[in-house]
Amino acid sequence: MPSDVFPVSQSVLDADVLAAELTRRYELSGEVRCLLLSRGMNDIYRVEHANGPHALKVARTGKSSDDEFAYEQAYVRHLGERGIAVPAPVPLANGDLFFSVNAPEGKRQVVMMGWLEGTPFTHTVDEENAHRLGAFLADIHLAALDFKTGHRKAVASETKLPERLPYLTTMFEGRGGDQAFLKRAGDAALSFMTSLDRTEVPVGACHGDLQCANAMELADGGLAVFDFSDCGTDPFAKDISAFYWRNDFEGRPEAINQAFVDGYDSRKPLSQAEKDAQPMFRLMRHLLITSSMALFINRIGPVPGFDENIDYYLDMIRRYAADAGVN
Amino acid sequence: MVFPVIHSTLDPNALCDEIARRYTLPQPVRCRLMSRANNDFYEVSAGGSRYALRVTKANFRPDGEYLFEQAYVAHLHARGCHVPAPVPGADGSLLFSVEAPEGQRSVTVMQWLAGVPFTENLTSSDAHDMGAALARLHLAGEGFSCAEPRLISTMKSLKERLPDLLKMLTEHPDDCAFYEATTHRLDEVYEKIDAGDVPQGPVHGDYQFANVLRLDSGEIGMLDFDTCGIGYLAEDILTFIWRSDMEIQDEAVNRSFLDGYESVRPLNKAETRLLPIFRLTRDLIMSVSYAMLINRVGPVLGFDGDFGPFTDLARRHAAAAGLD
Repeated sequence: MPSDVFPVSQSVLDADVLAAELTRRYELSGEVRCLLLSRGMNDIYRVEHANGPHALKVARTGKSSDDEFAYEQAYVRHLGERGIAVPAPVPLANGDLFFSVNAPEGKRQVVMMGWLEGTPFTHTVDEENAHRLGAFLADIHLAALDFKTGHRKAVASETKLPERLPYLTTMFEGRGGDQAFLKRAGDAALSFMTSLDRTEVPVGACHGDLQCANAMELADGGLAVFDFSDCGTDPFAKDISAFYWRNDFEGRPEAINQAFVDGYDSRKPLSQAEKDAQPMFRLMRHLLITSSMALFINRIGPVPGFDENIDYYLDMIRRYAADAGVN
Repeated sequence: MVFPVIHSTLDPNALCDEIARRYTLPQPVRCRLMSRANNDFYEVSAGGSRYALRVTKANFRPDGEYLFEQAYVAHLHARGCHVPAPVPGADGSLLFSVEAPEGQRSVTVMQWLAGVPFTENLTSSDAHDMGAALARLHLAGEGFSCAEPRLISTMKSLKERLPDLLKMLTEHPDDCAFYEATTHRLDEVYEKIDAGDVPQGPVHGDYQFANVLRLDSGEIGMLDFDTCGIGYLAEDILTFIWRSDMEIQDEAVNRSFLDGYESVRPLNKAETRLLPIFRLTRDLIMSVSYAMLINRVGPVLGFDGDFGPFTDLARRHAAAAGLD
């Protein structure tokens, strides 16, 4: 990029040029159109063509290395082969599962995927559907038990939290007590994660963000899961905490969380150690999500209700820190 | 090769450095992204004061049009309207440009308006206040002149952008035919408007509830003059009605808005007669503009991809205007 071009943190690719690139790389025939569906941490398009539609993800610069992105695609493909409804990556004409483009802000990976026809699974407000979604997460974990790949990707909360927490504490400038509490909570969550006995709390490939907004009910009544951007190796039992966070954020009752855990437990029973770890996993999730929002706010713009209501998030962190024995 | 892009988000840290260099603001200067759409908005804090900063979309208007906008807003501010007046840079200029990857973008630092934007929950009383404020804005615009007048031609924009809408609706040939025929009929009506009967002047261009604030003082503030220009004053009323039709759906609110407007600036007979036409034109211009920009900003909140309600509304208003 010429040096007189102003530095940018994110961009939106030209949809027409993208369509031409897909035509070339996937050897698509006929008219190809890319329609921007959402512009967030990643950009998502619907690709319309003779054998479509397909979904297309253009990943955020710096989110994953190529090796990590390859892990994600291998994991999604594996789940698809094991009967989990996922947006499986479509191979390029050369057999690769993704390609990269040089955007002004840096390299971005691009993957074309199967299109899931269904409705977002946003009705987990009742216990029955929460139970169903919990059982589905357990099925995803069971399907991943024999997943093997030469690529590496970890959920890496232990690495991300120390990087991102300072962005959150900065938002509490002039509130030393809150800043000290956040540091204490972060230290406690990190200490817990590093001392975790991985034999008692088993590790495997996890989705990383399974909550109702990333699940879908298909026309046949089955469930599908998408958005594997945060997937990676992690304790299976920690993967439950994404659901807690969303449910807590929406202000739904604890019985919904319990129904989700019960659903999970009914398919893949949790050990006592996995159950005991839940309060600290929940605290870790709250800390990481809130810190991540603080970090990314200048890239994607405010999350509705976030920076103007930061105390709502802090209250949640305090509540679940107390549950985990951190005050 | 750098992949072509149609929109970018400027790096806030680089933007801070640029602002600190170009403006005599107290240090430290901080920029925080507030919203990312066709234009991007940042909150700038400098030495305890707040400002708003707008980075326009690229390749959309010539510099002269942005200069018109800032001169108009500065004029309104001088006339007592509550608008985000541009803050001059150290060299006295009201805006500057940066070369983004997708093209040149105009940057303006503006005064911060402390208040709360209206939502679809606004009351009839709010609507009345907002109508009156728009009329005062129109009256305050009298006497404004600019070396490079920015003329609004709604029909020209409509005809230029119509192909984008038709392309989006290829699976709905009946709707395409409706939009084509209605645009043609509107064009004929606009051709016959007697400019002597229908007052023109500087207008806001996008006066909808999301661009209007209830200020902390209780008064009405107005934002986002991106589509301002010289146009029919009465046409400027219909953006409020359009948004209201979409989200409030209460004719009493629309009526109250008009009453508020006319309490300050009564409409003449020709303007009143044209309101149904202007209402229909606003429906169409918003739809074609949406189709033109959709791949730049992504879907609009509350719009789930079904264009049917927009078309139904336009058909209803076409019938009311006698153009069905």
